[in-house]
Formats: sequence, structure tokens, C-alpha cells
Amino acid sequence: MIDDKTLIARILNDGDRYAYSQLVKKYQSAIRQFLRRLTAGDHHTADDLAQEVFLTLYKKLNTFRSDSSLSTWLHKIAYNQFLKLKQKAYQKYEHSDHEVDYALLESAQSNQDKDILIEQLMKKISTNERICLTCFVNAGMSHPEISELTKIPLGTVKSHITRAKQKLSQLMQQSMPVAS
Amino acid sequence: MSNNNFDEQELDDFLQFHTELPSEDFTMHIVSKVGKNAKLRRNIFSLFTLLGLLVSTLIFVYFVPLSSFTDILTQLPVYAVALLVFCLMSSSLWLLSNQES
Repeated sequence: MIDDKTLIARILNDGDRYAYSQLVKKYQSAIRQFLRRLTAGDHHTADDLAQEVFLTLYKKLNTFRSDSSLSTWLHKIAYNQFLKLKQKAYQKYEHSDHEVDYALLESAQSNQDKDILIEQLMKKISTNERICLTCFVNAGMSHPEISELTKIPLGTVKSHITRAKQKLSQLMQQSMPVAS
Repeated sequence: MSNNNFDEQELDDFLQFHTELPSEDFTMHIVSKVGKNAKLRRNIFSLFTLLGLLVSTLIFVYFVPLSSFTDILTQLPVYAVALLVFCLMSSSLWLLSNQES
């Protein structure tokens, strides 16, 4: 497996499309899943946004500074794409009273079912809670990094994450059958 | 999913991504889109270069009579004219070629 630095150098120096496709292959799943969580299961929109993320990667790769990892940089671009979308269609991505298919929780044996269930649960928490939680748990960002990215004060980031976890934990416990 | 108590570690594990999304179609689509965008940029660049050349030629012809221009050309040694034509041809070919920038 060729490392990111080599692939980036090949793209910047030779416009190497193969190297670019390798980077897309490597990160596409994580970025698409990240956006699926942020959009609370809107797969079509998430994939459209992910396309924009990778097109931006190609256009702006020369501005990438290796003081952060490429993964973090891509997640930041993905977040900014989501933010643009959220500003246009705020209500669509706010938490809703849509029913979660709790039957999935009982039968969530397959990994795909688990992912779908979590995406549905994301509708039950506020957008900011969802953003902070997803950046922390799935993008592996630290609290200060999330605070810098989202412009949310550090303390608020921490409380969003804690509250989101509490809510999700409660939702899942409520949906469980009482153990006899 | 059998335990009723969701401790923090269990929840963190549950919140991870559980599947790897297939990459082939997505990657192919993105790479072809990048190619199309590059081709479009190149075509726009070529078009405006040609337009620029056309406008500059018209301006040149307007201010300098064609006869004096042909006089200059005929006074030049053959190798200089050949070099000039070669440079023009190669730069035009470079602009219009499909090689990606």
C-alpha cells in the first residue's frame, strides 16, 4: 500500500489520476459514512456531498499542509460541505419526531442494519450534538479540533457530546425489552 | 444487542462504522468527473487563447498594413520564417492536444 504522502506528491507533480483514484478508494467509505451520519441517513445527499469533497480534494490538494492528517483534512471539507447544505435547508437536518425503526435494534445482527439504525437515531438528537458526536467518535477529532472547526466553544462541544451520548443511550435502553 | 445497559464503551463501539462501502462505482464516477472538468477547463483555455490570437491579429492588421507585414516576412531569412512557423505550429498543437495539464 502506497502511503498518502507519495500519492499526494504524484498527483501534485504529475497530475497522476491513478494516485488520485487510490486516495478516493482509501477514504471514500469513511467520508460517505461520516456524511450519512451528519445527514441522519440521507444516503443520496451524503453521496452527492462526498463527491464534492473529493473534487475539492483534487482542486485544492496544493493547499494541503501535512501538519494534520489527510483524513482529518477530508473530514473538515466534508463538514464544511454539510454546513453549506444545512444553511440552505436547515429544517431538513434538524432533529425530528420521525419514528425510529426499533425493530432493527432487536434484529440488528448485520452490520448494515446497525449503521442504518444509528443513522435513524441521529435524527433524534440536535444537529450540533450530531456534528460534535460524529466528529469525535467517527472522525477521531479531539475536542479542541472540533471546537476550532465548528466555532463552537470548547465547553459546549464537550457538553454536546456528553448529552448526545446520554440521549442515544436512553433511546436505546427505552427501546429494549425489559429483561425478565 | 442483548444487554440492556449501555455503558460508554459499548455505546462508542456501537457508534463506529460497521460496514465498508463499496468503492468501485463511486471512485470511477469521481475520477471521470475530474477528467471531464479538466477537459472543460482546457477547452475554455484553448478557446480564449484562439480568440485572443484572432483579436490581436485583427488589431495588428488594422494598425499595420498587410503589405508592410508581408514585406517584413519576405525580408526575413528562410530559416527564421521556418522557425517562426514551427513555433506557431507546435504551440497550437500543444494547446489543442488532449494531453492533460
